[in-house]
Amino acid sequence: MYYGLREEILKRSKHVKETTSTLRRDYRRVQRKREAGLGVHSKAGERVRKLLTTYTLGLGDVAPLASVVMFWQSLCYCLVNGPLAGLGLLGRGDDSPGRGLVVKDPGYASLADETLVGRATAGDREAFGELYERCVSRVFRHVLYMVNDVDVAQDLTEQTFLRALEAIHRYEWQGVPFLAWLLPIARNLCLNGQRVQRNNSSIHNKGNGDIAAPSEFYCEAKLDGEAVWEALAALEGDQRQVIVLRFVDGLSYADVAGVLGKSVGAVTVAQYRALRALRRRLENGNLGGHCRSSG
Amino acid sequence: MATLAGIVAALADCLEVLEEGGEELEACLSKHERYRQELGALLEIVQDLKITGQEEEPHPSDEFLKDLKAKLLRELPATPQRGGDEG
Repeated sequence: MYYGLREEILKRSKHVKETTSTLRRDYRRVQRKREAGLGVHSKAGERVRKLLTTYTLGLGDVAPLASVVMFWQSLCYCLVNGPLAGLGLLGRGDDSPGRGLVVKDPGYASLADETLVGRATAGDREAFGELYERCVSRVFRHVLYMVNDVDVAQDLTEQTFLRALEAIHRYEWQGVPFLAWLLPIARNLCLNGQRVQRNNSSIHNKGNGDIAAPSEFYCEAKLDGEAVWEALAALEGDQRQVIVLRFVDGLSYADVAGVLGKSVGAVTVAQYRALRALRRRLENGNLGGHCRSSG
Repeated sequence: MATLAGIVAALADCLEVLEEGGEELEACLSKHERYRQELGALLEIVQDLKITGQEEEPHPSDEFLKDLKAKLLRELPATPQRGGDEG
């Protein structure tokens, strides 16, 4: 009976967690679109509108919802780890296996990369964990654009962080974000891997220099049929990377230049050409059929 | 006459203004009247990318993220390395 109850609680807790996460994401998206003066016609907008109609998301409603989530989390944690374990649940930053429900210390999120690297090299696991959280998805995406294979991209992302871990004491703050220090490591690993692959096989023809065509994974990841993302997926590799590094990752011209091994002037020209190519594709509806099969 | 260098510089200028958040798009476009139409279209695309970018992008699986983090934290030396000053 105990195990049955535990399973049920775990299942319901997972559902609450997923639902609140989706709603939080949707709400942020709608807010940003409203702030930018854009209309909200997406599925996300629909979900949030429905939620607003049902609950009216004021502070008075969010607080009880948060309390319910925290209660479920605490209860689950106690059941899995013993009745006293839940007492230390809040305010800890330990992400060790089996502690996925722990609330993270918000202090680390506000620290600069420079400070976090200093602490990580001194053996502070939480500081390195924060750096990892900040950069891992961006490194993965950068690699995925180059290799066009999710498994290979995950493997190279892992290698990138392991290399970074070995060399982290060499990171020196020069106004360059940690991400801009990581990406060249990732890029070199990709290019080296592709060089080896070319040497080992004559059947390697991606038709796009060193950078692969956009992956199905990329296409499947886009939500709500955002045309601009479909057009982005159809751009050539270098152009796509400039756009993503500049406008999604928010890197400066100098940082993008450092990552791609180009001059700042070349990056500004590439940025213009890439945006112009995006515009042309959007206007002509010429998306190259890259994402159409994904619906 | 419109030139590549001209539009590239105008775009960079307007993007800088937008990134600093201190000026409206219209004010930026009026500074570069010659390129207004093209700049307007390009900046609109940039805004769209920025708004949806963080959530539309491809993400690795949660399992991968969790496993890699655990692996890295195991590998992280417990003792300070060179250059390991507190920030």
